[in-house]
Amino acid sequence: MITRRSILGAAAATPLLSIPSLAQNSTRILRYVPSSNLTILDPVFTPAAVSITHGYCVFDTLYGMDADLQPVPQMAAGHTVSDDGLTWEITLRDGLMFHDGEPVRAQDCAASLLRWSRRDGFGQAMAAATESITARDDKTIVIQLTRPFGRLLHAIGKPHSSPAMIMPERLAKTDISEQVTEMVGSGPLKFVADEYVSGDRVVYEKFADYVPRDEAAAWTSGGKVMNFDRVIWQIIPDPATAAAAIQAGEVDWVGGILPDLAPLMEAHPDVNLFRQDPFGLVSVMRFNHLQAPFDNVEIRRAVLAAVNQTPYMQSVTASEANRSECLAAFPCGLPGVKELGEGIMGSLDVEAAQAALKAAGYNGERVVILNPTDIASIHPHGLITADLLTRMGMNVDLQDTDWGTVVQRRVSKEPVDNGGWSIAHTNWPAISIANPATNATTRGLGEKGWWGWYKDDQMEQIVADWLSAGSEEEADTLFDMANARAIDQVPTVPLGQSFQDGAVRSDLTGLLQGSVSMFWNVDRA
Amino acid sequence: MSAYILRRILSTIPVVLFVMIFVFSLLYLAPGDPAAILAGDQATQTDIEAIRSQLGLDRSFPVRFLEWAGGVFQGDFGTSIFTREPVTQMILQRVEPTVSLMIVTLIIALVIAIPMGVAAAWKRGSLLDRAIMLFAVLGFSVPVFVVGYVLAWGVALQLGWLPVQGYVPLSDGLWPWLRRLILPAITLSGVYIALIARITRATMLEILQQDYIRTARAKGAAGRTVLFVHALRNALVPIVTVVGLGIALMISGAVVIETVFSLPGLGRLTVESILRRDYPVIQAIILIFSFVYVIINLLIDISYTLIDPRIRY
Repeated sequence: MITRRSILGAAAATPLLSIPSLAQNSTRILRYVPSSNLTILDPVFTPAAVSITHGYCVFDTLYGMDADLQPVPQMAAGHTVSDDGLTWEITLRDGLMFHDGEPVRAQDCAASLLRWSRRDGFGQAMAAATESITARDDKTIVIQLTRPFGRLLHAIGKPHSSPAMIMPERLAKTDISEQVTEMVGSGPLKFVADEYVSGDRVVYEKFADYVPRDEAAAWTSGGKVMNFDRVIWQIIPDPATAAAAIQAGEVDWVGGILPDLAPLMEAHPDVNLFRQDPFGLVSVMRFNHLQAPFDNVEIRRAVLAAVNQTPYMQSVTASEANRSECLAAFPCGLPGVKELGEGIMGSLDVEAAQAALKAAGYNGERVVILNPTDIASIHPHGLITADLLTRMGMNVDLQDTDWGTVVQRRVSKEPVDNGGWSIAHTNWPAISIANPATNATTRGLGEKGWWGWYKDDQMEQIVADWLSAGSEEEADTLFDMANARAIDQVPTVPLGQSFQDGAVRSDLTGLLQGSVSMFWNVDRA
Repeated sequence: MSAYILRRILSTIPVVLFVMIFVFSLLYLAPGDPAAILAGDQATQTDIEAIRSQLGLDRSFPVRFLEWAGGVFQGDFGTSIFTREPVTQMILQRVEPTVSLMIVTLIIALVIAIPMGVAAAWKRGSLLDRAIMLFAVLGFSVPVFVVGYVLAWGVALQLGWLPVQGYVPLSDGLWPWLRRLILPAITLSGVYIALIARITRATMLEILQQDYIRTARAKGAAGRTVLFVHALRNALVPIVTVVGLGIALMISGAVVIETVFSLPGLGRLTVESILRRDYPVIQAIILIFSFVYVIINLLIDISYTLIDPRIRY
């Protein structure tokens, strides 16, 4: 029976228990707030950044990316390539263990690569050039190609959307249309399934049997040394609450701070801003190439010429330090990217744009813009585009809806009168579209490709040549060709790059840059 | 009385059945495709169709409905499309924060609102009455999220008296549990304090004009006795009605509060599930809320007979 005495007694006693120094042992805990809720645990099944962040905790990759964005051995000890470039042998390093106590075998890696190559774009390109992925023995993975694929290590070492993460063979045999829900990897952190509550918290424990590499950690490569015993993700859906929580010291690290709140973080003596991803996000305007008017390249060029990236980027962030214009089809700042759009984009001459539209044969077709009102970084783009096209004389139908509906409707290939669409906007992590093979916004795969279904055999030939290029010089030339082709044919209009800062308590050290938050190397001063 | 209660419980069956069919149909017809959301930005039509097929989303309406309804009647609400966890487990994980928030909110609201309403009626037209009514107007008109942010900024961030956010289960101790609930409950209680105080005042004013109150006073009953024994008990019927309906309405208020204070409750689960089109979770939550609403109405009706013996069913 609950009595007044027992309640008062409990109330008097419990504050003592809530004092960390008394309530906890010496367990070192890092508290992190991800930018969104973790609902899908399988990082190969989905390209969602939060799932990839989780993936890097639990899983490891054969190759990682170093600070120069070059692939270097991670789980691998190294590799050999046959003289004809068709046989790749990757050897596993010693001491690799899964969280269930089983050793990592080449069979696990082969099955994982096969599953990944059925979903990921770069993986699919690799699969198209692959005869088989097998294990010669427990330590050696053999990738037999049908044609040279010089970018193989870039593919299996790609850092984002989606990395080729290694899981036990029994899990890797799961069909790619089905999620893996049992989280057994060989990464530096173990997923604590009993404490996982989607929408509230995700808990990881340091994997005691993880053997880090000797090299210094950088991006997704090097020694993944965990200095914390537990990493607890706390899901805080409201950005203002997350900002308040880090100011109050209730959490150590907020993955993404709302740009409006960044000055508050800067002003706080115990909080620092931290730019996780130096390459940021690329905003894009995507056309539906199957329907008029944007099946006409001249009309696409007219729009490209009229687009000024500044208002698009200003709508994402007021801070000039957190945005940049980029007149290229690939993200600026990444290796090999040159700005080619000077004089082609952003003329701001609406009269010229109107004339160009007329000359291109625009007949007043309705332009349906799908616009998600619940995604703050995308919603303004629809408004700006609608205003621009209206001023250009287009018959614009801006359709405000939620993200869930946009995602459903943008896969419709129907005409606009039958539920179809003409333009949709989205963001891509720059690192995800870093080269001709991975850049879905420029690929010309048609109806087999990314929504919008841009078909361009010439572009696909450039991609194929780039993938099998025999030298870096040849690859660079082909990269430039892909960039120029995309600016010329306008499969997508690039709208600029924005950079989101995270916030960390000032006593945290050793944070690594990368496309997602990484918890190894981090320590408390 | 027991026959009435049995009748009322039986009458919930068609209501729940109707809700089941209505909610399922609504979600079936609503735009949005969980398979497309699941597949992500890079997915092709083929990827999405494979996922739809794997999840059984490509089957006909009757087949899906009968399968789901069959599961519900066996206590199985299915599996989340996204997390692949049993829906029942997901809901059970989220019930405690919401119920805790509602209980603490209700206690705060009742402890403050009823004395306020009684005092306002007793001192009708006075400065106290006006102050209480002004507070009630503010309680109605200031959005809860504004109150929440102001309290979080002032009490939690500036003074450091309470945590900014989060939830600790009751099993971790009464005080840690309560510490996390004080600010959200105060925030959410504002509108209910206003509502209950106004109803209490209005009802009390009406009852204080009754002949039996005049008689009680004429017989020399003390003011406090008149107020609390004679008047308040007779004013309880409308107050209980408002409190009961308030509990049901609190669910919608909880959505905002749970977001502002990062409480992992049912309100947030509802919004998350709707945004990502997690049909099994949405269906289960709406069904449970509907059932709770029906039960609350039943309890309100039963409580009338306890408060006022003249009421018979």
